[in-house]
Amino acid sequence: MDKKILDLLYSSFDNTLTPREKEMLDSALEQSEELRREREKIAATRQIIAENSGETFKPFFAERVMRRLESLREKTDPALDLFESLVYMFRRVAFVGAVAAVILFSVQLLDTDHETNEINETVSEMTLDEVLNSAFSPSLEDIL
Amino acid sequence: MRISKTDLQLIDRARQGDPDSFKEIVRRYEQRVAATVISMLGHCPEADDVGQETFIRFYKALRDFRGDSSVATYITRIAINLSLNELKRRKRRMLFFPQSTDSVKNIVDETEPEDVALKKIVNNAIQQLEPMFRTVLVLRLVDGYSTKETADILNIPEGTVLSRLARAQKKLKTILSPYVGEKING
Repeated sequence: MDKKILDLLYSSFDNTLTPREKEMLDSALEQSEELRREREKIAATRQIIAENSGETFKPFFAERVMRRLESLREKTDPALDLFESLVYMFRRVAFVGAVAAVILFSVQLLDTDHETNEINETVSEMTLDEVLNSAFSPSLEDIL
Repeated sequence: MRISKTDLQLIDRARQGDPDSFKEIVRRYEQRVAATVISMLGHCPEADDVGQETFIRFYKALRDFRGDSSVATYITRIAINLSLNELKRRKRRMLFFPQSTDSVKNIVDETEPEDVALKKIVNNAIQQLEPMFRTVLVLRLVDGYSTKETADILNIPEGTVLSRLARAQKKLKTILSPYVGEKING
């Protein structure tokens, strides 16, 4: 079956066809027995779904909702509100503090890396003689 | 003679703290929410919880409700979003505790009346769709929203609604083929 015609057939149930598309579909329906059967099947499927989907909750649903609302209202007494606000504030302060600590730690880490690189560069610039002299030639102050 | 109040009148009174007015809203839309939520989640204890939570969220949003969309559309949007959240939670749970899905034979009790059994079969068939196809099908065919309303509720283009709807119907046509045949042949 032509895919475009089949798409038009499905769309036709939702009234979204232009006059040109409707003409195309009508002509195809006239010529094809298979397409006409398909249309019947789609219509029947939609009808079965629409007719068999009416569901209900268990009895006393509205009462259950109202009970939950009542318990929510009880929860929002002023003392509890103050406690919840304090908890909320604490969470925010704790979060900001944690972020600041991470940033400070990262900056500190970067600084340490930088200093280590500087020492490495100084050491690599010394000649072998300078290193040996500084290690094996104690100064007069050291001996005294 | 008792004159029934409009939704907006009830909402006004509920905002002022009248619980009976809100209870009346719950009664008016209970069935619509049940159809949406049970079609999305199937018959399970979570469906009742999601239904209740839908109205709790609506109650909390009463002050923000300006009446731009109808109460039905507003509540349905909440119900759909909460159902999708529940499906995501269910998917996460399934990763750790896989369960087998029931086949048609298992869900239908032979002693049940035919209409009850068919309802179960249709619900089970809808549960086999991916959530994004299921959502469109439920809004369009179960709740009876137009293509444009469905697109507005889900915030997707109308073309996407149509293509998802077509795919959902193709799959359901196959699953429900024995019953579709019966319907056609009378």
